[in-house]
Amino acid sequence: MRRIMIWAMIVGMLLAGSLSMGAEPAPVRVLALSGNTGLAMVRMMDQPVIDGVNYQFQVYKSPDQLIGKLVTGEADIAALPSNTAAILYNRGTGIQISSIIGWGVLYVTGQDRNIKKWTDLKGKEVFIGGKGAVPDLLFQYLCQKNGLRPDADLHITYVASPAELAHLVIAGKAPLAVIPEPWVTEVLEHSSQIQVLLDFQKEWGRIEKTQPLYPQTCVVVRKQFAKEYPERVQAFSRELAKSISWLEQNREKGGVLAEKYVSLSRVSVEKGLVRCNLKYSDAYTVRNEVQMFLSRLYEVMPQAVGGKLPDENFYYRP
Amino acid sequence: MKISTTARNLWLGTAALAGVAILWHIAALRVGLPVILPGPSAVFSRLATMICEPNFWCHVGATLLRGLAGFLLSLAVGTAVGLVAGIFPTLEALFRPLIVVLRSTPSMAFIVLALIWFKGDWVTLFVIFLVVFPIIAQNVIEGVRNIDRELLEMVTVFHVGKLRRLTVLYLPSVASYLAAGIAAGLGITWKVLIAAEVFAYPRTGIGTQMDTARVYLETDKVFAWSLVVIAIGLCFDYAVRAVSRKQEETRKGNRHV
Repeated sequence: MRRIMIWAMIVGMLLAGSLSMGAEPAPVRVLALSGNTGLAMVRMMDQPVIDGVNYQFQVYKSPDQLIGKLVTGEADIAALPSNTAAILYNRGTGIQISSIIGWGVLYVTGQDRNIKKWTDLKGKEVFIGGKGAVPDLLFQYLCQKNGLRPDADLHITYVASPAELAHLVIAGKAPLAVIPEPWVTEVLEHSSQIQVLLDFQKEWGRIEKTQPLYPQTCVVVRKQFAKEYPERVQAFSRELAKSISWLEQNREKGGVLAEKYVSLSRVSVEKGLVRCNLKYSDAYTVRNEVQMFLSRLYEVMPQAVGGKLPDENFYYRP
Repeated sequence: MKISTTARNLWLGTAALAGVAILWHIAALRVGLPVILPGPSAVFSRLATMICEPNFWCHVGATLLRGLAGFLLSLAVGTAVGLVAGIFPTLEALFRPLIVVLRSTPSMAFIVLALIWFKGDWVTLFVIFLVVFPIIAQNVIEGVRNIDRELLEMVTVFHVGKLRRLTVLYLPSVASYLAAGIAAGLGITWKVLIAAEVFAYPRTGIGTQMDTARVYLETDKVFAWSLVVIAIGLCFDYAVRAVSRKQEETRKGNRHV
């Protein structure tokens, strides 16, 4: 069945190409990460035609691969960590942030049930995937706010990516680890001993005296593309919001799609979705939250947001 | 005559470097985005500010120490194994396949394995050793094999003691081969060390800094650190050449006496 569909698609594409050169609008190129951001888009990946325009999705394992494509203008829309969006903007790559979709998915997992609050981490070894990325920076920030010096009071060991770290945790080689959803559920599914010990979101809410949410992942658009096709950006945003709320109501179907498109396991999506904090917001409406979040990361490491906080033009306005 | 050749070579070298810099500058202008390709002026000014930061020397020092530790270990073990294998053909038959296997394994494979097996500085030590040790050992083996047969017969006939044989015959004859091995080994040490550091993230080290710069899209910094690594490589290369030239000269001088 699938093979027939693929052939049908190829034939269709060839026909479309030969018959109506130029009449068919060029597909919109969308990049996502195999994790939370990809998960938010699974329904769109399954139904990639919006208002007669085809959206081409590509899913990557790490932001690095995706950044390269974005910088060279080989993508129109991409889902990214919001600090990476700020760096790209500050480097003059011509992107704007259009929506916030992930509101914090970080947890500390481990077997040591004595760890109940942040200060209990003193003197421990903590594993983090991705040096200098949001998990690392936010972990250091929360440590500092709890009176712990990240470079002296505890030992941080870095691993290349959250995906790799998840495997180490499952193998029992990372007793304490900072990992994002949906990897947390993936880990919990594989090992009954491991549990969620600390919740970044709650700690953030406690320290900042706000809601337990922070704008971790976002969607960016190429400025030129947004200028030429504002209606496509609109349509994409609308469908993305729909895709996210559909996911909430259709966890099982969502899990099946996630397994197919973004290499997450079905079970981890079904069970972990509650912890994923997916919620659609237009970026300019939550500008204050974004600026606040970026300013906290800036405190830890100015380069992490590109050396300065982005200005007003960072936010895409329809 | 000799001076003018050196002067001409120096001039040609400078011209080649200047040509590369000009091409680089033009390419950077054409690309127009420093994130992708920063121009030479941006890179050198970044390098200048980096050198003024106190942490700069920390990172350079850590990388130097790591590299030298790994290299000296490889040098010691490589020389010992090379001598023994060169002298006893049975042992050579034993070691040669091992050395060939090590030499043809991609260094990335060592890095990946080291990341699974070890932590921290052991990763870099392990990787450098596996890459540099076979180079040294192979060169020493070649050196021993090329010892003058007549000299070899002479020491056997005159019952020269084992230690004296080593210091008077083997080591001096092997010296020029060893020097070639050292030059090649040191050159590659810095390359694999930086690669290993990029993946192993030691707290201080040039590789770690390069990777951090990459994550934050500070491409000019990546270039600047690369220049630092190149400078380190050139310094050691120059030093090794100077030392071996001097040795060569003293040896020639001795012969004349």
